Amino acid sequence: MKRRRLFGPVLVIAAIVGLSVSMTACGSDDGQSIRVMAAASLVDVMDPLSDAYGQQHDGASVEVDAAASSALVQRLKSGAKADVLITADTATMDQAVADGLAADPVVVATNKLVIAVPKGNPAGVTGLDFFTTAGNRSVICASEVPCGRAAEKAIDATGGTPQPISRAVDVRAALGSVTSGEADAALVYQTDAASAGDQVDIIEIPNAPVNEYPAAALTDDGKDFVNLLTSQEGKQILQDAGFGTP
Amino acid sequence: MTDSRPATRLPVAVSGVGVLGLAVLIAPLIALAWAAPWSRIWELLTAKPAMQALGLSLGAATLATLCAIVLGVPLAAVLASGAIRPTRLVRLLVVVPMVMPPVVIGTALLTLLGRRGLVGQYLDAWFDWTPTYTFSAVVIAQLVVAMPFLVVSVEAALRARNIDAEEAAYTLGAGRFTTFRLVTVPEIRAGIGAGAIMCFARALGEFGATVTFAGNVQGVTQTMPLAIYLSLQRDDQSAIAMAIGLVILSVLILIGMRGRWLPALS
Repeated sequence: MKRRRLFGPVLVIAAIVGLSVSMTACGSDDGQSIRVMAAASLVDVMDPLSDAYGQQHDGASVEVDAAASSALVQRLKSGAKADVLITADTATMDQAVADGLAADPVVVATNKLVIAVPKGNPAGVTGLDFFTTAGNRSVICASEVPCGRAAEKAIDATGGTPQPISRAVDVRAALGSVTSGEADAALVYQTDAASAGDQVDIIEIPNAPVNEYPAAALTDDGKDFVNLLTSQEGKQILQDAGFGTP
Repeated sequence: MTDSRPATRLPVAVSGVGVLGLAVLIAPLIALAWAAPWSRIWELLTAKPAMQALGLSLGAATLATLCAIVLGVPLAAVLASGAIRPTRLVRLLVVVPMVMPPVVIGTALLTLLGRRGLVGQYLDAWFDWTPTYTFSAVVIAQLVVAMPFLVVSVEAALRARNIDAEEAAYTLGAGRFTTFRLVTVPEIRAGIGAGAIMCFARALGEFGATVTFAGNVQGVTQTMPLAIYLSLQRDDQSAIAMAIGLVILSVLILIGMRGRWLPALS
């Protein structure tokens, strides 16, 4: 009797394991798969870029590890493996180069900060002064991540001090605070604001600091992906997503 | 208290795999201790952001645990008595937060209490107050994530309790509330203690729901796990020091509570 009772659960577990193995395998069956560590702000454009890479390399798949650039460098430092690293500012890439984790980075895209406000701009935000007034529901990134440093630089340039209601752990979290309506304004990259579509309005910042996205191949397999980023096709994909290209 | 059960002879295969299981759990802790900057640990731990985060974490987790006891013990009593039917479905709903990704719990809390949320829009309109990015949000996030641990523990204690004393209390003319307060609750205090400690520990480590619902405001909502996550991106030394501090603190709490509250664990 005991044996028969065990049979059902064992069958269910076997089915789940079998299903998950076959689902994982689907992704990496054809061609060589590569792993790309990309700054959080690149997460939307990685899909079309991965497709383009797959078409060039008979179906090779691209695993994307997206996080704040500083978190990615931290992961590499602790021994994580990847073929390509793309960061959201040169300072973070320089750190990776200094630590011997990456070499020969090339700038593949540019981006700039904008003010994202909920659709209709309920708080009537007009410019960066909204971020320097205590009591306003503004959000900028934490100073540990690139979008936070860029935001502080932009606000410093106006002579004010940031008085955000919260400091987001990455740029997507900052955007989320606006799309959810919790904040009346957030400083995010132009491309992130664009990805939110109808949910946000964008206010341009005069003389906004431009940040560069350097990419570095960490392995020979990664070189083809960096070449794709600098090719005409790659530039077109990046521009379609709202990035500037060098 | 020593284990009173007779020693059993385990097959070598079982004890071998058991030791491997133990290694899986403690190897990361050993590595953390190995990587820790012991010579600077006191200086790193007493730095202002670390102290602020520690104080905040302890305060929020304590409040969340107190709220969980006040709300969770009666809930466990309701479940154990089968007063709401179907009990199995209600019990399932109670443990759902234990299997939900905390980030999703945070998002769900935003849709409930956020400025445009189901209830939050009225809080904003009537009281001009929104819990998001406040200390209350930290406590609420921790409460939702951690209370199920308490409820499960207390319900198990209620089901296993001896009801003779309650019967006697009724026979002697005690009312329902008096009996619950003076007989039932003392009878299950070990279960409440164990549940409260599980709940406190879970609240102390909470990250996902907090960062989503309460944001990251230094000195207001930046708890230890958030401070650790962010400092990992800049200065891993201080992150590891804070992590070690959290581990030591949890162990101290467990040891301190063991005798009085936790006969089940000692």
